[in-house]
Amino acid sequence: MTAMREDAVGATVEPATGGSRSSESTWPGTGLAEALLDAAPIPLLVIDADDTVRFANRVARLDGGRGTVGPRFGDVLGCEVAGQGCGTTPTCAVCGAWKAVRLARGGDATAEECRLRTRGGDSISYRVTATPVDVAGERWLVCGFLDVSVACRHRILEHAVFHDVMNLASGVRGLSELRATTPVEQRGDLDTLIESGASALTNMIQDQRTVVLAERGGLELSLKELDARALLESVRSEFDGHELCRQRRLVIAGDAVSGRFISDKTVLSLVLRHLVRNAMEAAPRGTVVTLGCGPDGRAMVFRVHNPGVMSDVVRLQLFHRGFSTRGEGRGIGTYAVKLLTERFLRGKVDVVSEEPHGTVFSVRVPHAAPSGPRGE
Amino acid sequence: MGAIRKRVIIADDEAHIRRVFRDVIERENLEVVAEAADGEEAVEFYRRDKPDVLFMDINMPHKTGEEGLKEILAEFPEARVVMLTMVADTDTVRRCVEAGAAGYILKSLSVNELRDCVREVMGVAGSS
Repeated sequence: MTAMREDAVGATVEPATGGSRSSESTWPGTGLAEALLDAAPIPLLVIDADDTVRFANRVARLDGGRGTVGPRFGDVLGCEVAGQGCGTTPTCAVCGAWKAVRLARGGDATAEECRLRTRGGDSISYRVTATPVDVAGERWLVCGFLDVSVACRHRILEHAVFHDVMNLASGVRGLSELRATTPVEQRGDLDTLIESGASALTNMIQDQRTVVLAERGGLELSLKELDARALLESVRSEFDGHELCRQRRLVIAGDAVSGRFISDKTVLSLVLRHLVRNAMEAAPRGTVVTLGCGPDGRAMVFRVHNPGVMSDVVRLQLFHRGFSTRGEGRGIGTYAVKLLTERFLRGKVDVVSEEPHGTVFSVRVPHAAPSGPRGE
Repeated sequence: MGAIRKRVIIADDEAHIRRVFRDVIERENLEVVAEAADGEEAVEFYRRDKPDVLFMDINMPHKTGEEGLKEILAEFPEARVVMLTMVADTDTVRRCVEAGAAGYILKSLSVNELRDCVREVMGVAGSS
């Protein structure tokens, strides 16, 4: 059971701007109706025909009052874009909660998954249900918000373990079995593949462990002085002979500028590796992915460019846990990038994706050592 | 005159898996004419080489195995495409079979089990 975030609700939440308001709508449900809604273990919001919250149940109310009446559900949930007008921004067009509401207006109860980022930077996955009810001659929607973040995390981890790790482990095992029936003088390349596979497996599991620790707030950084260009070259060399480089090239920009800074090499390498992998998978065939770095004031900036341009639907959901263009349950990449960079390295991740320039991810980390997780 | 070997393409984004299948297939005296690392290559190589069988992973970058299967079957209705998957009980596997895949093979099988599957697919009685 999850109560609303403290920054999301209060006694004097202002109504969201944008859209029409039926100022005459008053939730008529009393007594038994509200008692039943209050008894629910998850936040329930009743919204009117204008999508305005007219009742919030006990779990949704942090202050015990009716202060949540008036805004839209994005305001109540503390969505980071609600301040621009819940339901009016481009992000709202791909919001699972709004999708559930739109579908429920058709008359049937619906359920959708909503990946939300709060103003405080938390990433929450909700299973949103929207159920139309008719009370006193008026149509209302009862919207439930079940926090499924833990289940979402487990689903992603399960996929990473049960698919990605097993996929590679099956390959290594198969090669080991084949080696046993291969003449000794022909085992050379098999041995090389087995070794590289075992090494990749170890790295894959270690990367997942790092992300899990980061999500729990238990990641401890190992800080030391690093050279930006040397770090970039180290990441680039990991992709030598990689499958993703068969039809694409990975290069370091000629104007990449070196510089010394203090950070965690393992975590920053993991961040850059994920961005490079995503760029290589997104880049059109025959094109080049370019890595760059250089100082910018009191920060070191790393850039990963690929000529492809992402759709608005992808870009708006890019850093949400669980979202992936690579299939259900796979999406730890950019979410982990943002988590590790911003919460642990005290840096910033940005993306610009537009024709004809392509897509550039920028990772900005401070020159000085981060002093601990942000926001914990 | 020697018999013409049956021709195969392997498509999987994991190099170790491709190598396992290549060795198993070649030990059955079959010819691997190409290896693809993503769905785009799989379709391209199929058009170019028109193998007897394409073994294709379901989960690949740039174009999924399901997408590649549909594209190949639309152009080559007689194509024999066997899907490779880590898990059997998924909607994706079911859709692929319904779309016309000749079957599927679990990648977690032992080498001997993979060999038996390849023999069944290729209609070979045993290694020659």
